[in-house]
Amino acid sequence: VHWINWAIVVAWLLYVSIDGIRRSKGTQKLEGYFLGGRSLPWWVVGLSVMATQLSAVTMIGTTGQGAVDGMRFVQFYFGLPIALVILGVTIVPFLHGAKVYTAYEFLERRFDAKTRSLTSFLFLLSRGLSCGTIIAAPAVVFSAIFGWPLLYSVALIGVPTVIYTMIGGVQAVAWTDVKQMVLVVAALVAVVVVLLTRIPVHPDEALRLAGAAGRLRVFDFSFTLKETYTFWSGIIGGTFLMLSYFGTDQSQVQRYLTAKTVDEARSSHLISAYWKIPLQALILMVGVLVFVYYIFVTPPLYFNPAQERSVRAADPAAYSTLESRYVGAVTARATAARALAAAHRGSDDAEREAFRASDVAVNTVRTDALKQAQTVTGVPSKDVNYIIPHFVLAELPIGLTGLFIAAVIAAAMSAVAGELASLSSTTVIDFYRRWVKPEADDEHLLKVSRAATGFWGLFACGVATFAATLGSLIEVVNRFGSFFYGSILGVFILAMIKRSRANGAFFGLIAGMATVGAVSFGAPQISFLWHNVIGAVAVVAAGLLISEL
Amino acid sequence: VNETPTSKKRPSFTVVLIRVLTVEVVVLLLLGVLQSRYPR
Repeated sequence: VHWINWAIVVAWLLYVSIDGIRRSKGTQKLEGYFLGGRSLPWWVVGLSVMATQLSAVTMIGTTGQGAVDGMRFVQFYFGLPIALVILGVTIVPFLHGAKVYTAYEFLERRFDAKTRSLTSFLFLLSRGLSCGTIIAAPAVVFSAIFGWPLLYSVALIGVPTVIYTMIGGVQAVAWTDVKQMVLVVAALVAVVVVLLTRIPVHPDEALRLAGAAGRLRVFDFSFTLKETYTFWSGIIGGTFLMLSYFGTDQSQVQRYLTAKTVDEARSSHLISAYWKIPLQALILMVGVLVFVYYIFVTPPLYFNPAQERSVRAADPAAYSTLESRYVGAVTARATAARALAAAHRGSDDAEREAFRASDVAVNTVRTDALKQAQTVTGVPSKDVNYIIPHFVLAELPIGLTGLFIAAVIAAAMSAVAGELASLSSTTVIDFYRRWVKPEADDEHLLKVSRAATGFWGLFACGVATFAATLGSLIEVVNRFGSFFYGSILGVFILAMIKRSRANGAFFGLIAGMATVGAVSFGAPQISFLWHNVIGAVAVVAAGLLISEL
Repeated sequence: VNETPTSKKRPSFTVVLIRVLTVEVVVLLLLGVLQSRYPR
């Protein structure tokens, strides 16, 4: 990597860190630290909400998914605009009007302390670990590509984020998120422009090739509970997931509580409602165009260089056989692609069929290669996460490579910062101030809050550093997390129904989680998006029933 | 619920819903056009 690229990355890290720290003005009080004095403009809140969701996984994993699987993942977000409009007239005015610090604090006012403590505990457990995985995903990729120890990559992302979040609180998080978001979108657009100029066929033909390979298939209207990405799971399951995420997850709730008024909180959500689907489409399109680019430029057999070294060292003969099969298949595909691009539209069935067959042949060799890698390394290959990093490092011009690396780090930082602020607020407001020192003054609580942010930052960096060792534990917690996501939404729905009582909410939550757990183990073929629907419905039904007793 | 008063009149839920859904339908139609213009 050219030094100019590193200079850009370092300059960006310094800029956001200093800018974040400068925003510590007005954070001498708890309300300033956790809620920015409830005075942030709606567009800052809105961009910050989007930045928190857009992590490094989106930049390298989702784009890679676009390259191998096409555009269909965008269906996952179809329920989001609907969910945000519903929240605008339900939970947002409730929580904003209640002048709370956390979503769970509201549950004690409406129900009781045990419901608040259980929901906030579940949040801390799942978010604490997920924060670590958000750092781990890009850190593992950086280490594999640059040959650094994992700890260095974790520190590069974690240290500046923890410092500015600790000092500047949510205000620093929100304002730096705005800059991170601008950088991320600029980098994505720049990559699209570079790709369009580098692909040796007209953009219209490039899309024709992508379409013929099935990469532009957006909609799947089949109604099946087994498939995660269909139109219906996106519209129905996705709406429940987004209602739960935006409406009840403190990492999102904290953000709209910083808005000046209910109207501004609602307006901030509308940015996501209008722009989330186009943004995801853009991210996937980057991957689709990278796929087209590698039709004409021979891609490596493995995009992950560390994996390539391992497979080559383990069995050099098998590796070179695979490689020569791969090069042959890729060359044949390039020839078929040129024939299809030159063929007359409307009478190109033979060329289209030949191109599709050649793409299947390439995929067959890739599948064999990935199986070989799994046999050698003992872990499933995640080569898809290395497609875009490889492209960026090998193909982008000097300067733009640095911009993209900075954008990946920026995406990770903004996601982590938002989560740290929410973990800290839940720890201090729902546990420390509630159970340990209810009489503590603002000054004391502020110190504890900064310490809590630091603690969760260290915790997340620790989880990220040992993510490989903790793999199965993280998986268990993620699975457990999916049991209560929809269920917590059910509790908030109950909160808005007059007839529901405290015991109904608490035991309804447990009943909902148990139902989702039973479905998850009893019918594992049901896609996780439907778990949110099942959990929310089960909690409301059980909660209302128990409230009547 | 103690809503904060505002000077501007806020568009109703129905109006906001119609606006958001209109934009979503337009975006989905564009994606549909992409899929049908460049078929498998």
